[in-house]
Amino acid sequence: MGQRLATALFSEADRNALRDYAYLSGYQAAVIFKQKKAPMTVSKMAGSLIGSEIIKIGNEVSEMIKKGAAICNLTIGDFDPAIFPIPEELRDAITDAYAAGQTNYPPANGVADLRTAAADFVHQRLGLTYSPADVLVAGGSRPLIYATYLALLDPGDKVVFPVPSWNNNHYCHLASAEAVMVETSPAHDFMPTAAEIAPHLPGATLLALCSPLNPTGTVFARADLEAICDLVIAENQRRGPSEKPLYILYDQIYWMLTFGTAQHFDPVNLRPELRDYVIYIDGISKCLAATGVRVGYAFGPSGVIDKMKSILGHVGAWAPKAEQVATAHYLPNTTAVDTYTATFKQKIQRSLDTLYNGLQELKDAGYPVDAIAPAGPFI
Amino acid sequence: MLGKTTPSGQLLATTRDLTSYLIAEAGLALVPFSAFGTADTSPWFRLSVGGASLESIEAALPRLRAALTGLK
Repeated sequence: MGQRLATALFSEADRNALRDYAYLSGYQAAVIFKQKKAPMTVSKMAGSLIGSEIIKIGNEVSEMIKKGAAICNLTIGDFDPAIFPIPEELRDAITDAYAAGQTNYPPANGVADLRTAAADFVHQRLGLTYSPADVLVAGGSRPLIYATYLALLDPGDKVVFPVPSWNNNHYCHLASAEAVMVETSPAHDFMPTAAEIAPHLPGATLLALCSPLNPTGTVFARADLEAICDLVIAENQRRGPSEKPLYILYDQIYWMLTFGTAQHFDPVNLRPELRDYVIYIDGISKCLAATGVRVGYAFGPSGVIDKMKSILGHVGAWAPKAEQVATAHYLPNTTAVDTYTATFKQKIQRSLDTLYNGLQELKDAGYPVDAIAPAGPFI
Repeated sequence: MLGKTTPSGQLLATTRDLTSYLIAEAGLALVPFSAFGTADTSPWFRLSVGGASLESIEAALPRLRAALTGLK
């Protein structure tokens, strides 16, 4: 009765406006609207799912641009291929792989050469030592994050993550996990501190961290990440052998795109004893401007990676085989990678500086704006 | 900027309003932090530079200034 009454009170236009509003303003409003609009036609999870707000705004803007509007579109974390093309050697390797007939199923955990190349890459460049057997390849980082959630979380388990955060709320929803969002502050570059996180770790199953952080482009300071790692170590020492431990999902997909004096740090390098509890999310999408090539990889403890492999095997979220073969061919080419990333970062840096300086000029002129100095590809 | 009024008299109550105003008046499209789980009133935006040319960023800055000047 209450639902029917509420529906009658809204005109179609109102409902559309409400849906639009709900889309952006939150989960709760979206749930209420969906229940009115289409009760019981789809699963509760699907019915209350909200799409990516970022993609929605981005698509609206793209439509306006197509119609001729002059808009500077800084919405989607993507790279315009006309401005930031993928490396030529990678592009050629992809077309070569198709010409060579690399078009059948890839192995479920990824082409062996790519897992070896990825393991060598993070070993040489980050000092992280993982066996190719503990590397899992997928179609970008998203399936890997989703698989991490499904491999570790039971319904109702707690996932702690700082906000602003990219998409962890949606993955919690997909996995029926409880999202524990920890507000961060601009004074601390929107990176979480150990003091902010500490009260939420007892009973939590997953701590989802990202550095350089999407959406702010800021990075963990070494001491801050060390302090957070120590909290996780202490929490796991407190837990009994029959309890599920606390894991860290460490999304470092932007690690090669650090700017200025920013340096990338990661949990296992800082605290090797965390090795059994950290799942790294990585890949070529951002560092090679290859968002549409869809090659991501995760690495971590065998027991978790193997389960993620099984989950993604059923989902079938593999990276295309030719792209895997090509990436395996490209990553070991140190000179090509270094030359490409140097130029790429220089171009990004120029855009960041222009924006940052422009915003600072407005601030100095008395306008109510501010910006955080970028350490990654966002302001 | 939240709580200000546009030249056409619209109140910018949430970052959603402000996002729309900046797209329409400054030709500058940003993502409010509310899309990343913070409160609707969080005054911060993400600016992702990979999708735009340096020239289009340079051209947008004076438009942003003009759009902000118009707010009361």
